Amino acid sequence: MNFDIEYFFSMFPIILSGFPTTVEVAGVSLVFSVIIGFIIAAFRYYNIPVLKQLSIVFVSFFRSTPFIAQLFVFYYGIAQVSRIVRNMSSFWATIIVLSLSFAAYMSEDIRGAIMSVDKGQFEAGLSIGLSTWQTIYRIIIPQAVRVAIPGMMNSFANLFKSTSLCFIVGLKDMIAYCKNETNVSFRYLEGYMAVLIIYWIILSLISYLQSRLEKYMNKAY
Amino acid sequence: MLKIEGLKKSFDSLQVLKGIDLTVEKGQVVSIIGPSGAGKSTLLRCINYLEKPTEGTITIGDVILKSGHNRYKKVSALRRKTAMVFQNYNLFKNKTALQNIMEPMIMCQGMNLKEAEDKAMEILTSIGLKDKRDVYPAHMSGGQQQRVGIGRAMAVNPEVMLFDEPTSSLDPELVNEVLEVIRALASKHTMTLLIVTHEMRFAKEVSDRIVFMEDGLIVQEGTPEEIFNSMNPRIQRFVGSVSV
Ligand SMILES: Nc1ncnc2c1ncn2[C@@H]1O[C@H](COP(=O)(O)OP(=O)(O)O)[C@@H](O)[C@H]1O
Ligand SMILES: [Mg+2]
Repeated sequence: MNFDIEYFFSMFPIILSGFPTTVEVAGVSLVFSVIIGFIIAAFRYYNIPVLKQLSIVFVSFFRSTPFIAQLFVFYYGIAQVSRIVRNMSSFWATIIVLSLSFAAYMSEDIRGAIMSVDKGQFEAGLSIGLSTWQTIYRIIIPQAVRVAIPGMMNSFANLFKSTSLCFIVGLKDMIAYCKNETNVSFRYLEGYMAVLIIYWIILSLISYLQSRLEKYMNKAY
Repeated sequence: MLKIEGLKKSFDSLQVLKGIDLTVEKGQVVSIIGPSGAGKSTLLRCINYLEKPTEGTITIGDVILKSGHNRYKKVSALRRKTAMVFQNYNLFKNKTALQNIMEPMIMCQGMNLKEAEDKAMEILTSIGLKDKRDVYPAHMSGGQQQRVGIGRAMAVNPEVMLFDEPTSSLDPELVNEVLEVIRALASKHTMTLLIVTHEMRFAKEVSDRIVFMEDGLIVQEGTPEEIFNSMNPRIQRFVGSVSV
């Protein structure tokens, strides 16, 4: 069997029809996972009873189980007992599981970054008369962001790649378009090679952005 | 005027301050000396409310703060009347020298940017660091950082300025430039200065009074002459061992 180069190139526009869905799922999940991750990190940083213990269990559970199994438990398992999940589109189901799963990673990135800021910075803020919140958003967060960015960008790269598993529950992403097409043509090699190239380019862009961002932030001080 | 009455502080079962009474007139310069672990830092931190007193009362001007639960407004009022210079500077790492000094003016005194910048430049000039205005702490020497630390405390415009071993982290050759700035402040007698220090010669020359603390208590307070000629053998030993 020979490699049909023409077919290979013709796959790109077909696969890219799923690009908006992939990007939307990844983008929305990114926002949610950062917000949830921040809240979890705060529970743990401030030692809030009960919530802290729940957070530890949450993080451990989502980091130590396969994403695909989490997705199945939610989309097929919980759907058996919950009408809301049963009626949910695969688009939103995917976003919910991705958000929870990657919130666990994000919270660890964020918590580590906050802990890396010297306790003296906090005291200095209070000592000149700033409130706790003013100190957090004017002093602590700007310093923590620099530390958190590399880890969070890594987590985002993994999140982006994980969207490629979600066609299994019916998400119409790039993989889904490739699968539909190659199931008819049987030209799997050309089709999935094209998928790899597209992901490779996107992830390289994310990685380039990450290094630019790090360089920019290191220059600040 | 700063008045401390019956101040006690415990960390769990460890009592660190065992009943401190101290009154300092406005504009006076008081050095606090004593061995490590005496509770000197804890005393300063209570006055700035970085530590919550277990018992006692702190009065600065019209702000009276008792131990127990205090509303944030009260705490904030006390913090506006005090400013702390830390042993390891604790400059805001994400802000330049100028921005460090402007921070209390903008955030706590409601000054506009222009006004705050002018005032901050005045302070930078007075501590001899006009040319470092846009430099981040990471690119300054320890001595320069601590001078900015003092500048930031000046920007709070406090009644009482608290110094916790301001030169202890510095290389010996940088100690003098910092002491020089404190000396200039002391000679004005506009703010009350409370200085925890191991620089005995400096304490002797700059202070109106010296307080000797040990084991959570004030053992003796008096003029520098009185302390340096104390009959108390522990104080004799202490000033003898560290003085230069
Ligand atoms: N946050 C804290 N928790 C527990 N113990 C503390 C804390 N801060 C200070 N201490 C203890 O209080 C005592 C006095 O400390 P400190 O006020 O720093 O003394 P000094 O500044 O005179 O050396 C020491 O025994 C120290 O270990
Ligand atoms: Mg100390």
